[in-house]
Amino acid sequence: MNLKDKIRRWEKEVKLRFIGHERSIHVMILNQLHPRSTTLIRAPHGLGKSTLMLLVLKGICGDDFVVVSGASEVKRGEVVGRLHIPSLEKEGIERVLWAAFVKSRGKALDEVNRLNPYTTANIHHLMQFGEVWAYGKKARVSDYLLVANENPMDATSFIHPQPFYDRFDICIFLRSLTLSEKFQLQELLDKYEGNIVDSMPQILTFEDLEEARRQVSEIELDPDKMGIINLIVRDLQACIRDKENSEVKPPTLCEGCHFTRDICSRIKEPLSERATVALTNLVKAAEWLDGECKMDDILQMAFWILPHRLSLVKTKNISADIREILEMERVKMADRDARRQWAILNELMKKFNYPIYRLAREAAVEDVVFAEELIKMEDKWVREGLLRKDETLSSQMGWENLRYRDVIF
Amino acid sequence: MESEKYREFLKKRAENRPLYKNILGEKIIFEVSKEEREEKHQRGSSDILESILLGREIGRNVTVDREAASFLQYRLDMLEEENAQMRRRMRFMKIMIVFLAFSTFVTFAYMIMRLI
Repeated sequence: MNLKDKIRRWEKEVKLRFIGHERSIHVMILNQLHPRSTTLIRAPHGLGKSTLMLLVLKGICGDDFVVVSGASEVKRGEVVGRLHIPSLEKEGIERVLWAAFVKSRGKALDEVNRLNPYTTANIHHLMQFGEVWAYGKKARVSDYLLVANENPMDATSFIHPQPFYDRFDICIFLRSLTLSEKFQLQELLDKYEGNIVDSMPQILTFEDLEEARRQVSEIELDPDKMGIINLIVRDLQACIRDKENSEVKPPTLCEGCHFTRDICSRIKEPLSERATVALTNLVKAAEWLDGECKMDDILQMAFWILPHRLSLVKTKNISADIREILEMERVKMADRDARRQWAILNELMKKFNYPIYRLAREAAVEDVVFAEELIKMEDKWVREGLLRKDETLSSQMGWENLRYRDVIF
Repeated sequence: MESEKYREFLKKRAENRPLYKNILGEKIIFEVSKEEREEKHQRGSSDILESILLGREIGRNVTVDREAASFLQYRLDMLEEENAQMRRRMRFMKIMIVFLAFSTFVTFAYMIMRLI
């Protein structure tokens, strides 16, 4: 059985034991195909967060993985390491016994929302730098897969910082089962005598997974796909009033803004650049495993990288809100194509042409991302004497914030 | 310095949706590529977005795909919202005009009475 077949079988075995979340499981498997993968499962209690987490881990690690549970008392020694007392007493040397969680390739975090801030900080450092510190000693953490789950509705939740959640590549939502799915679950429980997790076989080794990760990393995406990924992320970051550095946030910041009906006005805190990396990894994995990844697939995949990263102005139902934003994004992309924006920019990249520049200006007042690129080029044309400063879009529209420079005075 | 992949992205997108220059004076007219035109001829129908945004002549049959329909719906919603906002502003301005006219009239009347 070749590597791809093994991965497909891993997915199939998980799907056989977890009812009703086919697409989520597929994306979850795709997300494991890059080094140091991290997955967050979010759902109310009793919908199978821990079961899904264990099924995925068992498929790779068998029983050789470590679960740190936020619901129990977690001490630093259990997550990072503890001091070896005999060495200290006999030899006066501080030796650290690194915790099984640090050494294990399969890592699981149950009920992340209940983890205390100190444990969270240690795990955050591990995810950020691939290393842990204890008693002045450092240990490098080898490649791993980390699956976590949480119930944000839980009354005993700690509020973890946004950068911590940003370290998770994707976020999966689970829903309750429909009537027919409940029958399927009962049959499944009867079949495995209530031990669904125990019945999950180990399909491949971690070395197999590392080889798959290596092959996926060698996939080179074509510029069109990279462009779409970067566009999606940039559309969810760009702000004409520089919300990234502004103390005043939307919706107050958007009052009287030219783009008040655009996607940007719905986003309070913009996406980080990790979103681009996470989406790129998913697209590469899909190309490797499924053989192709179309534009529509990229837009659909964006759904999994957004919920834990975006902070929206108004949130009714995060998954419905993100679907709506992605639908707006789809319309925006069609709009750009219809206006031939990229063809205009391509012409202007070759050389300055005033009639085309006028078309570009018309397009720029409808699109912040396009305006950013045009304004960058305007700066160059002003320096070269092709355009007067008072003729530029940034001067005429008062979009000085879009004039990106290394140092802002 | 621009990334090579960024340039390639622009080039590829420009190939998919080309910009044909037909400069008459300073005016640029968008034209669909020869292939697109042939494709359309074969299909015997035209894209509604082309006619709305680029002023192309509508063919015998008009196709509206899901993306175009949602785009039009979004645009219509925006315009309706703007329309309603303008109406509210107009109503407010009308009230203001009546109020100002009335106050001007009262001031004049008061001043004339004072003079008499």
